[in-house]
Amino acid sequence: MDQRTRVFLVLFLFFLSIYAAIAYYATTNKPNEPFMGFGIYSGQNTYTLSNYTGPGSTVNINKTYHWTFNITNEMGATQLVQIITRLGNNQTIGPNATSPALLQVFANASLFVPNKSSTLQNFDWNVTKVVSSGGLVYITLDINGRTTSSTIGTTPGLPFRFYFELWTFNASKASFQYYTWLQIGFNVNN
Amino acid sequence: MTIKLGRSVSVAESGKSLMGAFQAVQKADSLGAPADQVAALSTQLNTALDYYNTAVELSSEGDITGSEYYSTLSNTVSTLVLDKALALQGQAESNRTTGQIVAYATAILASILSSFLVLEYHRIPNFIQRRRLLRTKLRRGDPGGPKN
Repeated sequence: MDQRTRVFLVLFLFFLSIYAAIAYYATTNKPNEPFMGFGIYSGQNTYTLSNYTGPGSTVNINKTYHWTFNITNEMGATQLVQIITRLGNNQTIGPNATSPALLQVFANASLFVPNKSSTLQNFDWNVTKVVSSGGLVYITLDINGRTTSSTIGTTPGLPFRFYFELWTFNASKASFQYYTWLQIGFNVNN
Repeated sequence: MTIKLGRSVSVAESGKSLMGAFQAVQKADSLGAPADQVAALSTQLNTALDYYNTAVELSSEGDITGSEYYSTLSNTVSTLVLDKALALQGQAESNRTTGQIVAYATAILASILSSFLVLEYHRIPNFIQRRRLLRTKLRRGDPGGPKN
């Protein structure tokens, strides 16, 4: 092998290491932080809850409120999620960052959310009945056409509280895993 | 979408089929299948899930015929999704391999070209000079030259 060929090979290997690194970088999936986003909005206005101004707002009996869940998937693959709706009051212990609540389930919806997109899920609800018993107020709720009566009451004048939990399906464990939560308080005008 | 019902299937079987389709869609996603095509499969998965939930509900109410009907519908949609997801996986893998081949082949070619350029750099001015000389028209004398 003559001098020229040797120099050419050295140069070739030098450039190949650089260009191969660029090729590897260009063809490899970039790392990203996976997350799920979870929000609840009204049907009328994307960013506020219909006829609802904040914690302690009063809802009317037999009036349907059209809310919408917005679930954003940035996990890198399609996700199967479950939204569990629970009802509590001002005193109940709700979910936290790591554990779901142990309260009565009022609604349970499952859906597939494509990767890198947001999916909407309706949450139409109304208070169909208010009952007073033992100094507490109990309500019956219709959520997406299904009626459930509360087993937890609240002191008159104090709010009820919705807890919305987002669970994601773990295929390797073949079960849903708790992910995050939201809460909204409301008073009932009866 | 036209769904042709075949034999009836149980709720458990349709659930298993739905999970299989879901995992195939997830794999297609992770292999880099086009987002719009995977999103279309997710919509179909939601349809299969709705049928499955109806089947579970009817089963709990004791309506076996209705339950089997919706299980079969769910199973049929899941199978369609599974087939499409597998095709997307194959397509995504093929695209990925092609992309890698093109990228590394370009790297090799660029390395050869770069090495050659560095090695022959000293000849480039001479080469350009020679090209210029070849293009220059030969003329007898220079009319604009000095006059004595």
